Parts: sequence; structure tokens; C-alpha cells
Amino acid sequence: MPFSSLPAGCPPEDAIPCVGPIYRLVDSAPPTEADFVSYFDEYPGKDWGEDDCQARGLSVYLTYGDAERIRRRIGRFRGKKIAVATLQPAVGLIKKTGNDHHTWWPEDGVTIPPLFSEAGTQ
Amino acid sequence: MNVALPNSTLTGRLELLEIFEFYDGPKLFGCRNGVDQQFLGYWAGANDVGDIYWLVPTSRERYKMIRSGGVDLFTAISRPELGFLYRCVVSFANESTEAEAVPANHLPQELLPDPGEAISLPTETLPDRFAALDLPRKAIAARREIVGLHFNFPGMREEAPTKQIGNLLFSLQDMLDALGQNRNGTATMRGKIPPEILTRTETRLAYAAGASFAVEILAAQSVNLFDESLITEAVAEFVEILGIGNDVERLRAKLFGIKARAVSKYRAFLSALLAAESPLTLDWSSPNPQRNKQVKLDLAAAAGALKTAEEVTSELGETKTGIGYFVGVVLPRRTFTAIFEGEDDTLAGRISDAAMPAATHVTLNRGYRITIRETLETSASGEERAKYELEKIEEIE
Repeated sequence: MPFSSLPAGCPPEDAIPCVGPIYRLVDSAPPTEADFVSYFDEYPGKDWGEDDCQARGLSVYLTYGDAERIRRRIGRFRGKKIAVATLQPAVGLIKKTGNDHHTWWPEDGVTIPPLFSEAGTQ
Repeated sequence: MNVALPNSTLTGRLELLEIFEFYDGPKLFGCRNGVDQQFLGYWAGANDVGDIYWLVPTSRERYKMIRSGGVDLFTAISRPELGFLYRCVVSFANESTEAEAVPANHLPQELLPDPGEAISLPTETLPDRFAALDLPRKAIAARREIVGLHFNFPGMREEAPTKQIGNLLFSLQDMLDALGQNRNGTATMRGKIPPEILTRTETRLAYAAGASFAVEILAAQSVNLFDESLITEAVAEFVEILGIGNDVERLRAKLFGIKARAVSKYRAFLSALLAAESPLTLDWSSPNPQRNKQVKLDLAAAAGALKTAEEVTSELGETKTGIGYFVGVVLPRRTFTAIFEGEDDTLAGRISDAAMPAATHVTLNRGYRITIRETLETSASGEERAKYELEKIEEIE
């Protein structure tokens, strides 16, 4: 089962196969495992209730511009790099979870960092 | 979303209002405490203990300004209204929060957002919703015609550009005056409308409310025993014209019926609407509720209607023939200046193709039988001016 580490019903039924490109902010190029820590993993003792599934996913954007916007808005992100993964075939499932924000649930066993490389200015 | 909020003894327990930026957790959000104090929440990084948030206490007005983009994020955080914000560390282990007040001038500049970076969300900034005014009930209670005009001006806040809303309301009143004069059976193309008509078509701006920006226009005078008045007829005609939109044949027929002055005022109103870049929804609430009606005019229809009205204007001019004297004729520019016998004002304009041959032989300050056509021209700003064309010159026998 590709998502056996996730609770039942996660990813949600309306999540779709994730084909790239997807963009994520990272500290280093090439990225490391530390660049892919979910909100869920940051707060291991938290009761997430109905948001348990989304908290276990990773935040990504579908455009370079969206990633760039949050880098301008949040000072702590200013020094981060924008990495892109061009996934083909699909790796995991994805769902729109905000205006521009998407949540990505990679399949179990996928080594994520090698999928990403630093994106050039677009 | 269920998030780890920086609840602390300094801020009280917080309730999340909305998340503006989420990225593996809330990075920019709005929240409030139990006494309705609002905060802008901003993620300032993390340390070994937990996430660090800055909570900026904001008034309702400041919060709306931030949300709609009127105040950028850099300013919102670096220039808080109280001069300080709360620095909170939310423990990864148990979400307990340590908070301290920090003067804004002690904030590390490198952690602030880029200057100019702003949230841009449509935001309700007026205190009342237009629907809550219940104008149909008010029209019956006040026994006056009420027109609600809903605009959608560019921008995220419920604000109207002063000049544009002024032009719109000015031209609306002019239009109602002209339609009233027309309904009274005394339409004139130019000159002052008699005060006894203006008194009966006068309206008052009574209220502004959110929807996105709406104004309530109230007739100054009440209706008679039969729920009728001159302003009732004028509003009915205006609503009918707006409702036609740009159905060219119907609009042409209607505009020819309301005469040149009202057409000119309608052109001014449409020009003002287009300049304001706002579609219009009009809600008519009448003391006779059977008349209540809503009509809409989008910008494409307004542009089309304006074109139609301009065409009608050129066909609606008035022609005057009489003894006149030329004060000046400039043949290369095909312009003339003349004065009708017994009148004080000179008229200046263009010489038509038909009048050109005769114009080459005119003698200044000598009497001719002349025919001049007058039309009303309305500029993009709504300013109106008369335009004259010399159609015919005849020798006096």
C-alpha cells in the first residue's frame, strides 16, 4: 500500500496524482531530508483532530511565482532557495488546500530530496 | 485548520480568524482573543524549543487595512499602532507558549517582510450591509422613492473614488431633472430647468453601505395620495432606460422619446460609469411596491449604450433659421462665428459641406438667412457643451 503510514482516509479522496512541476522552499541545494519535515512531524504531541491528514502532507506550490511570493512575505524565508520537482510519472497525491497552496502526500518509501533541484529564476 | 496558536498569559486564548499564508504551518494569519482584541500573526522562524511568532495587536480598522492591502505587511509589523508586539515561542513538545512584549524598534529588520508586499483580499470596510437597510420597507414608511445604486469600484475596500462617485451622482440628478422636465411636457434642449420642476425631482444622498459600495438615494419629496410624483415618473423612465442596456433598436427608440437634454445627461452618466470602471446594479424601492425593480448594467453594455446615445445625439439636434451676421469665417479651417439678429450670444462651429460654396462669398457684418444646427456634446468627464454646424446660407432678397 503506497500510503500505509498514513491514517485511513488519508490522502483525501479528492487528492489527485501529483505530476510535476511542484515547487518547495529549501535550505540547501541539493535539498536534504531536513527540507521535507511536515507540520505534523514538528508537533508530535499535538492532537490534530480533523486536520491530521493535511498536517501530515508537505506544502508545495505549482508555480515559481507563488513560491517567490511567500519568500517576499515571510522574512525568515528570504534566504531559502526555491526547488522544483518535475514528477513524471506521478509520485504521491496532491490537493489544493488554499488559494495557491497545495498539500502533497508522497508515497511511502519514496526518497524525496533527489526528486528536487534548485529552480532557476523564472 | 487546527493549528498551534501562540496562546499565552499576555494575549489570552486565541481564536484563528483566517490564514493568509500557510506553509507547513501558519506563517501569516489573523486571530483574536476572548475580548475581541485582534492580532496579525507572523511567523518569525523557529528555534530548538518551538515556532516563533510575532503577534501584532491591531485595531479593527488597521486589520481591515492590512487585509485589503491598504497597509503593507512591512508597515503593519514594523509600525504597530501600540508601538510594540508580542514575541511568542510555541513549544514543539506541548504547545505551551512563552511570550514577551517587544518594542517595534527592537525587531530584527532581516525578519520583516519585503516593503510593499501586501495582502490583497476583498474586505468589508463599511459598517453596514446594504441589504440590512431594507429599502423596500423604508420607501413605504417614508412615502418616498428610493434608489439604491450598487457599484463595484476597482480595489479591495468598500471605498468610492470621490471624483467618480461625484460625477455619477451629479449626472444622475441631471438625468432625473431632464426626465422630469420631459414628463412635465416642457422639455428644452438647453437653459435652466424651472425651479418648480427641480424641486420635484430633487434627490438626497442618504446613506452609504457595503455591497461592495452602495448608496441610498432618497427623493426629497414624498409621493401623493396615489403614490405618484414627478420623481416617480423620472425614476421609472431611468430604470427603463438602464434596463434596455444596449438593445440598440429599443434604446434608440427610447432615447428619441426623451429628447436631447435627457440623452445628453444619460451620456454623461454612462461616461462617468465607464470612467469609474464600475458595473451598476440599481434597486428601485417605491412607496408602491409593485414598482420595485432591479436592473443591472455591466461595463460592456454601458459602452455600447454610450455609443448608441452618441449616435442619437447627432440626430437629435435642433435647427434654427433666421437673419444672422457673420463675425468671422476661416475657410481653410471650415469654421465660422455668427450671431442671430436680436440675440446677444455668438455661435461658433463648423461649416457643413452643403454650406461651403456659399461661405466662400460671405461678407462680414452683412445680414444673411442662415440655418445653424445645434447638438449637445458630452465629454468623457461628463462636461456638456453645445456644438454648432452651419448648414445653409441664403442671400436676403
